[in-house]
Amino acid sequence: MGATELRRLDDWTWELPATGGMRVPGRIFADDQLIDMVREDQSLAQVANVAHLPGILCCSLAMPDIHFGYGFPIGGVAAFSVEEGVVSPGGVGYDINCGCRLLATDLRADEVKSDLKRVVDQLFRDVPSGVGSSGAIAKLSRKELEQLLVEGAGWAVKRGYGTAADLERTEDGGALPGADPDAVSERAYARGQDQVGTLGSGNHFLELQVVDRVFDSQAAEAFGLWEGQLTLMVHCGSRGLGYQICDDYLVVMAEAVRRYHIELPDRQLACAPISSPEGRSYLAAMACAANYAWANRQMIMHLVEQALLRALRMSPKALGLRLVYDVAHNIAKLETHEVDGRPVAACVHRKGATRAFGPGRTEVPAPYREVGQPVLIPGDMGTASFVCKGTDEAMRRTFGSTCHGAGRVLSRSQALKRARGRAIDRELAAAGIVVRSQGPKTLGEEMPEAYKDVERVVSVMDGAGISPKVVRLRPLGVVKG
Amino acid sequence: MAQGSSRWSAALRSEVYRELEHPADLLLEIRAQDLPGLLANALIAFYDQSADLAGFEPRRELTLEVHGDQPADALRNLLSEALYHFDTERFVGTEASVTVEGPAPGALAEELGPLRVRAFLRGENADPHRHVLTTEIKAVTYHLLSVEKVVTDGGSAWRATVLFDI
Repeated sequence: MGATELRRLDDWTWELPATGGMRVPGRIFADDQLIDMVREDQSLAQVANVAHLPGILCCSLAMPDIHFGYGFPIGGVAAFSVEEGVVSPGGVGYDINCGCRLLATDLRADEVKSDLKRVVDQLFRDVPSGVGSSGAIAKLSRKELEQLLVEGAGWAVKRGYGTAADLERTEDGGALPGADPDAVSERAYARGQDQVGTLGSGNHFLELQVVDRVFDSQAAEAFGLWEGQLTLMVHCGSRGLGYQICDDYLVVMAEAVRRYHIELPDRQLACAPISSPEGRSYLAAMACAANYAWANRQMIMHLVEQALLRALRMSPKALGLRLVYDVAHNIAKLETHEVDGRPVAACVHRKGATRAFGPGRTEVPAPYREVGQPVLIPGDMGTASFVCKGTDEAMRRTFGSTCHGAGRVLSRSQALKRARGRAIDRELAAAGIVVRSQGPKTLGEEMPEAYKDVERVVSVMDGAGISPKVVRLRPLGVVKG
Repeated sequence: MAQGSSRWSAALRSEVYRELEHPADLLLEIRAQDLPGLLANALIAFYDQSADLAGFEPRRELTLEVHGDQPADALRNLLSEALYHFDTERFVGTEASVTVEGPAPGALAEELGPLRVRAFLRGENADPHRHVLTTEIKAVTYHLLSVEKVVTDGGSAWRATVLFDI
């Protein structure tokens, strides 16, 4: 995909004109430096490929953290007409509802400075992490797991692992409607049975942070965030259950492509009409995985609270742990958006992208509705993460979506080569960040240099008016799988 | 019916497979003299990426059976089966013996019809107190998936690429 094919629309937006079989143009959010990185991999071709799919609305969108993914690019957003469009597992990814949860405390970060190592060690002990991590709670029976797949985070709250306020502050109340346990395979059940409340491995993490800069005091106040505050971020998804559901439905969709005579530029875009039995079945199974992920993060929040109380030897009231918000990064959702001046029922695929609904939308929790939805954007473990807010501009231009993180710039093997002979944990310790990991390989693969500059990524979406910055969160302690 | 086998050895790792560059996930290239050997090597490569195999003993046997319209499908299905047992039982294999039924001896990859593959694995279930698991593989993808017979100086060999989502 050559540079000449991109047309600059403004400081932050580039257009890939619709050519050949593309039904709509591509639209990429990036600055000059980030667009050069995008040109270096195949992700622009993937933006163009997505634009070929039936029923796509407006444009095939890419956020500034875009990189090459499976079929759809990671950092891609595509909305399809419910009447004429398709749903594609490749537009969601394997880790369905991989997402982020931000917890606030009533503590100043400097109050726990001397306890930091003990707190991180306690979190590392109490929240199962690493390859195939399991056993946070007793293995669930089939019936319990079926209930969890329907009720999502509410399943955990019903059992005392959280409060109703947590559900109010979770995207979709922590349970996507339409979940059908019968649409989930036996293999997915087997993989999900003992992984509720576990972090997993790879880029998943727990992070103790300090609010080190406030950009928008009104929104920060609405979100309950203030400079110097201790916060904690959780990043993980639907574990083996979600991976298996994606794998199962890629096979179903490959058959559906033949049955419905859908022409694809890339077989990884395998999809089915949203209204077809295959499309409906995928959405019902995907909702189960999304709900599993919300229950997982709800359970982890409970484990985190217990760990903090033990390590800091204080009362729940003094700790004041509460949920700020929980957002999905990998999901397809039925939403209503205005297209060409009229409301349209759409299936919005966000793959490595975050919902960023603006003020006034009923989907935004009441306490935040005046300022817009909190948007959680994790960075790498040595730099910073951001809380931003959704806007009307996002509703107009991106189907209420924004970026989801820094995006990789080094492959895992390149990162490991750079890490050779270095002690990443000691380097981070020298910067005041305590890190615990199940394996040194993960630390090397996930080293800060492996990622794009998150501040640059976030600034693009801030500059474009899609998701302005609210606060910056600096890491103090990190638990990796 | 054709047969091939593979046994893990750190010294022989580079002869069995190598990692290729990929921006986010794990892309492996696997080589062998024949198709059964290629599938056996692919299994060992999968386990070598998932765990530190030095601490594993051949204490348990596991048989996997899959079908595939093409060798590449059979490879993906076989590795997905191994992944399922890894995720649910923590089974890690250090020895693999594979039989392939279907193709005529010497057939080219694109000429092979439906294949029936049976893999006999020896290894053990990972014990968190004795073993180290290294990489969580989420899925075996269709992307960059290939199996081909290649001409070499000494005759022919088989080569596969497979991308794991991690």
